Amino acid sequence: MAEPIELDPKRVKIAVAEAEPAANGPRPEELSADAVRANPVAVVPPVQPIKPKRRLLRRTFWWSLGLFAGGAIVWDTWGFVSRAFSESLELGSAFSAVLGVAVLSGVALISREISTFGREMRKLREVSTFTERATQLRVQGGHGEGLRFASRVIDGYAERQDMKARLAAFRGAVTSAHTDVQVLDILADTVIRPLDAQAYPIVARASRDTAVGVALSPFGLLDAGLVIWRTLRMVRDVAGVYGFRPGFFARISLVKRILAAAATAGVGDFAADILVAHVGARVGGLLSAKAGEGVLTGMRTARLGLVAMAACRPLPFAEEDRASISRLSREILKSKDSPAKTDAN
Amino acid sequence: MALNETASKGMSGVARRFADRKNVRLAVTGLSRSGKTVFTTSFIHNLLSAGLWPERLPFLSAAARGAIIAGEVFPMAPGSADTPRFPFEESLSAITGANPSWPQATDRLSGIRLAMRYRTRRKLARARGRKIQILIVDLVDYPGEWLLDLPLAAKSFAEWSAETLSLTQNQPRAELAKPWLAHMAKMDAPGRAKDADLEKSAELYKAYLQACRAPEVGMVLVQPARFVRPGDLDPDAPILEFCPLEPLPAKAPDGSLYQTMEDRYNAYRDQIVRPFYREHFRGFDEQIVLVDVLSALKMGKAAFDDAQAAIGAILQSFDYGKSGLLSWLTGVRISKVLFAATKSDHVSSNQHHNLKRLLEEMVAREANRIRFRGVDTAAVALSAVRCTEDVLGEVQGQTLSMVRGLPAGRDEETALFPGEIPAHFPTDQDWRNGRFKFLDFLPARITGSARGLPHIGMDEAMQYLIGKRLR
Repeated sequence: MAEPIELDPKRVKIAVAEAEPAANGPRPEELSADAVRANPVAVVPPVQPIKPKRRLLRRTFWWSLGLFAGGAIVWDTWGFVSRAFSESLELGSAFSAVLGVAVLSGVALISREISTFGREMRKLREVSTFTERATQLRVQGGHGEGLRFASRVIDGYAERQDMKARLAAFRGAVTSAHTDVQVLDILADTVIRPLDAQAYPIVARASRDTAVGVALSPFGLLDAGLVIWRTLRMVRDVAGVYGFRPGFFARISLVKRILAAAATAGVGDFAADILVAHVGARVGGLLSAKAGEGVLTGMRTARLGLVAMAACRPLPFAEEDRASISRLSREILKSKDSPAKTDAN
Repeated sequence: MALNETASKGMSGVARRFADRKNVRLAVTGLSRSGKTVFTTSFIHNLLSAGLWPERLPFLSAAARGAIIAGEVFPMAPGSADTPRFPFEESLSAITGANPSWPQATDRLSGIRLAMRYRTRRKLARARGRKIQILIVDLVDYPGEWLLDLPLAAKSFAEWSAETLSLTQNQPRAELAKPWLAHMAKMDAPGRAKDADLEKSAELYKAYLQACRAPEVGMVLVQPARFVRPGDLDPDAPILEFCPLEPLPAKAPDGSLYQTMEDRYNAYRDQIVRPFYREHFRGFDEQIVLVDVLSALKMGKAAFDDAQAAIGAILQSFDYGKSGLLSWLTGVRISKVLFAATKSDHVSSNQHHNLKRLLEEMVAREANRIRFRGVDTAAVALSAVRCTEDVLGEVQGQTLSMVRGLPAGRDEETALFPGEIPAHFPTDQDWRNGRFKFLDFLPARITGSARGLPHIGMDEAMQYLIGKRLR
């Protein structure tokens, strides 16, 4: 056991910098994702990327079809351009110039998507390490690590103007004397819950739009298109609130993960919601079949939105503010009192 | 008359359930040097600042949700108009001054009333259009020694003498009591009382009590308390001239030494202790018990046991139980007790957990007794005013969590590793010298003190004590 000792204060260093943002440099501590994932403490099942099963036949079908269509397009284009050249040199050059611009911009577009995809996916993976780490800190109940963790989380929001006041509130509230659990509580209170309050109206609006749209749309294909478009937009906006700007591919991948999470985690959490949804659909169904379908679709969109929130939120939902349909309706009612700023994007 | 008094108190208890202003009497309990005055000052100051700067109290939910509008302090309630005002401003300016220091030791009783306006969440009140409510907190400050008199209120001279004398069996009291006991052995208790003998006995007994309280001894269970802290009493008054005596086989005749001392003890009990107890230590709703665990730990096993016994003796004197609808019959009772290990900033934050565990063990018996009456208890490690910061120091290749601050009586800051706080009572063998080193740190120079004094855990304590009333 160590003996008590006094030191010259010049020879010591501050134990935990009080949640100052890491100034222009290396982050305090980067955990490898594998190291955290290997830790068995995490209780909440994290949102896992789906691993597609290799289905040889299907893959063969899609690849061959794709090759055929691609080949046909290239062949057709080739024929079209050469025909234009045979007509006149000017026409041919004009068409090929336009084609060249189209190909170049297409390549540029795709490469940009791919680069943001990589970055956004890294960010998303970081979120899942965040939630796991937060759970771990809560279970361990230690001291000191919480501040380091929190400063990594708020670093992600450091550049957002609308977060300045909240980050300041967090820094004003937290001290080095707080335990890890307390730091997480303060972080949730001052920074994360206001974000939830911004995300709820987005989900609510998307849910309303799909419900009304499906109820009014005259045929099924339009339903599907509407729902997909609106859901993708909702996911983008929700992700934006929590600090992501996923591109198209990242969004698709996010939606896939969300769907997987909704399928696996949904059963217990959302059983009550489904009941509510069905009751709503029955009531709606009394008016018309289409209206009932609309209600159900709206509820489904809302559920997806809530799962999207859980997937993008850097801290796991605490028991008392776990997202649910009833909570959603409460938040909507609340936001009527004080209209929350929703266009974070 | 007594029934009337309880009834009126009780009726106001019923009435206030329906009123927009609620009143809570908070008992700040603690032995001397446990930090009552500083706690009261920080409690008031942090709540006064919570309207404009709620971020200092993240775990007081009313502050966290921004519901506190503002607060103000007033003199004590009418009816206790003779209670002087608690010197809040003086204490605050001592702590936040250019040369920060701790407030003077308290030598008399004082009280203060804190009123807070806040936005309520309760549906009933909101439905009636009363969104803004007022919570009034009454606080009393007094010399901690006086608490030790409370148990006397229910004891006869013989009982008290027997207990006090049995304490002198153990070290270090036995050694300190030698001159007094030697003198008493020469006294003839059933014989006629002589003024000189009475005076000499009381004087030696006082000297013994003072010796017990010396910082290097650290005993706290010292009765009667007015012998060492007379307050407004004349220290040479005859009512303060008695001492415990061995019981006599037969009743002592009138005018004997024994009888005289017993009469004086009864006068002390009936004229000083009981009125004080009745006026100032009844009708509390909530209680915080401040315990200076670190000092007890520093002084060694005997001091630790003594502090434990003293806390046990004090808490016997309070009424615990749920104040229900029938409280107009039974009187208001304490419905929540928070035990707080004070001065937690004297050790680094990662030791606070053990400090709390140690406190829990120290007060386990009392907490259990109180909980049996259906009253909630909790323990917390807190610093009413945080004077140090956590630093890491390198000692022989080992990194230690230390605290940095300015110790009293020095010109320069120091970094201190005070030793490891155990989570359990150390055994006698473990209680060797030099295991702990605690320094008395002065408050750090605070900039922007209007934002509330820096603290550790005050918001948790507030949430536990008055959080529900601020809903």
